Amino acid sequence: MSHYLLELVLWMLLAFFIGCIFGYLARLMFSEAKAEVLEPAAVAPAAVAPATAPMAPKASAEIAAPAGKMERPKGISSARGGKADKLQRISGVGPKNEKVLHNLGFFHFDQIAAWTPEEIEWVDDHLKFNGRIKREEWTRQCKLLAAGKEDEFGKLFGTGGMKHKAGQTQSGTRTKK
Amino acid sequence: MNELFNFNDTWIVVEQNWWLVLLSLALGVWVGWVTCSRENNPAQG
Repeated sequence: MSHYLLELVLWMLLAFFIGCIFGYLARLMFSEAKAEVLEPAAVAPAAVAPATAPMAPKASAEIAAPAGKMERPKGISSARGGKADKLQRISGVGPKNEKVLHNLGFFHFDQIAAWTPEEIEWVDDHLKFNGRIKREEWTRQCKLLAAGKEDEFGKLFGTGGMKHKAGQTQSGTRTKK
Repeated sequence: MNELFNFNDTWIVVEQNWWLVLLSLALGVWVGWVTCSRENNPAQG
């Protein structure tokens, strides 16, 4: 009987692991397919190809925000002058989110500072942030950073990556209560 | 001990408990799916 149970448990474990692999691959394929659909919009170079830009946000909005008042903010294909702002200075943005923002076409503080509430909703929904952008006041932070108001930014949001230790940038840690 | 590692005709176990194996498979698919979504979630940082 114990032998029978052992065999059964082994088969179940085998099935479980095979299922894990299938589930993982299925999700991976599903997300890749979704990304491909979003890709033309995600890298829609509004400045480079103005003829296609109006189409791209619409297609993206249909997928990401079928019913809400969300609006995809327009990104650019590459950083102006080839030099992007250090978005990790925004409290709440780490290396991963900085990369995501770059992929969406945002390289500069003034771009994020110019987001409207509808556009914030779109980005928040697109990245599944659950209101983080509003909570962490990304646009306010970016307005200060874009205006060069370092002192005010420091007072309100902490160092936000301003200080370096041994050559390493500290990602934004908010100090405001 | 030898009997413990005697896996002859082990397929019978699967045939008799196919629903348990299927359940494990389904559970595995779900775990794999959830794990993948957590790893790919950009909201993590």
